[in-house]
Amino acid sequence: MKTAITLLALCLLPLAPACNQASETAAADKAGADCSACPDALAKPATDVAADVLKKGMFLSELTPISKILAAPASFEGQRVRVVGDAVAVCETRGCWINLKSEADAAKFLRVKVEDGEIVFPMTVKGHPVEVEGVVQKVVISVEDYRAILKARADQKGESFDPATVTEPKVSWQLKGLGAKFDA
Amino acid sequence: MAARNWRYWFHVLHRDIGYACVGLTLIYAVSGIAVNHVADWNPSYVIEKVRARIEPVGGAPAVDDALARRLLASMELSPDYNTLFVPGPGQVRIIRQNHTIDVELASGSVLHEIVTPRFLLADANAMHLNHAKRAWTWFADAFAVALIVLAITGMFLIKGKHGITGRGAWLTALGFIVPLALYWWAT
Repeated sequence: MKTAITLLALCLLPLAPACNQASETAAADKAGADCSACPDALAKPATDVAADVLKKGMFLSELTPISKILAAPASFEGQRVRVVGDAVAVCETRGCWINLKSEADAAKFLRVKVEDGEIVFPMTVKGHPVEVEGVVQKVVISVEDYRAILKARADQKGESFDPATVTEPKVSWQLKGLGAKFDA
Repeated sequence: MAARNWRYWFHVLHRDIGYACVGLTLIYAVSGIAVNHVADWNPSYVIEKVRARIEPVGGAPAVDDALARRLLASMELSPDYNTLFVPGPGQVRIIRQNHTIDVELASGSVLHEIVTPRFLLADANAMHLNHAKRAWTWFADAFAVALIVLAITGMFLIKGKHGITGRGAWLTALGFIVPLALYWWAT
């Protein structure tokens, strides 16, 4: 019996560093590349938001029109809003983002990004109205990363891409989704 | 009735919890294989993409219900749809239930994407990845606790050289060492 217990204890020892390693990996995942298969996985939010604004769930009663946010996103930066719009694109890999169409312009959309696994948008939600509550964030993609993204997209389509055409970081706006309601 | 020792109760727990866990264990195992290979395939949906061509639409027509009906008619599809979107200049996206139809107006090029949830597997993956949240979180936690009980009671079912004091210890040790070593080697 003593031999068995010693053996088991020896086997459990390596678990301590393994746990640390696992949490470091999880932290790295949370820091950025949430969805490694998504084309814009390298996008990094540039907006710092207070922890209490990031409470998960849906608490606001008033809806903010998507068109209003898209018209002046900087004025909403860091603010918590509730929006509704038809989903016109969904992350195929993990359901970790959706694009919601503006109610005023069929050519404009607001990207909603959620933490992988916390909210999962099914592919069947495309075409259906989705209500989301979240925080408006500025997202900056460095020149190098943006070139890599555009090259990957061009490769996917079998098109050529000239990296020299990208000279500035890509700045865009997204809603960090903290709660969502949909039927699909 | 003679007093039962702890090993008897371990047998009882292992047997009955084991029976109760067979269903979800198999569901999670199959789903585990499916989602493990997410880089190679979509484990929850079959995504079919069909290219077609219709009569080009000249000029710069307004993207509205009339245009959507006209395009759907030219594809010999019923006029119902959920929403319209303009992904880029001269492009129209018509979204129907599980169907996304992208049309390049000038060329008449059509990309029709049909999404079908995989039979049973889509639900198994949703269970495994806890898409349901709420009560399922607690149920899945209870299942995990049941697996811990199965693992612990399982080690002490048999006495002697085939038990945990004999080959059982070596196999249990391998059960820790092999996955950990493989993980460190692979990362």
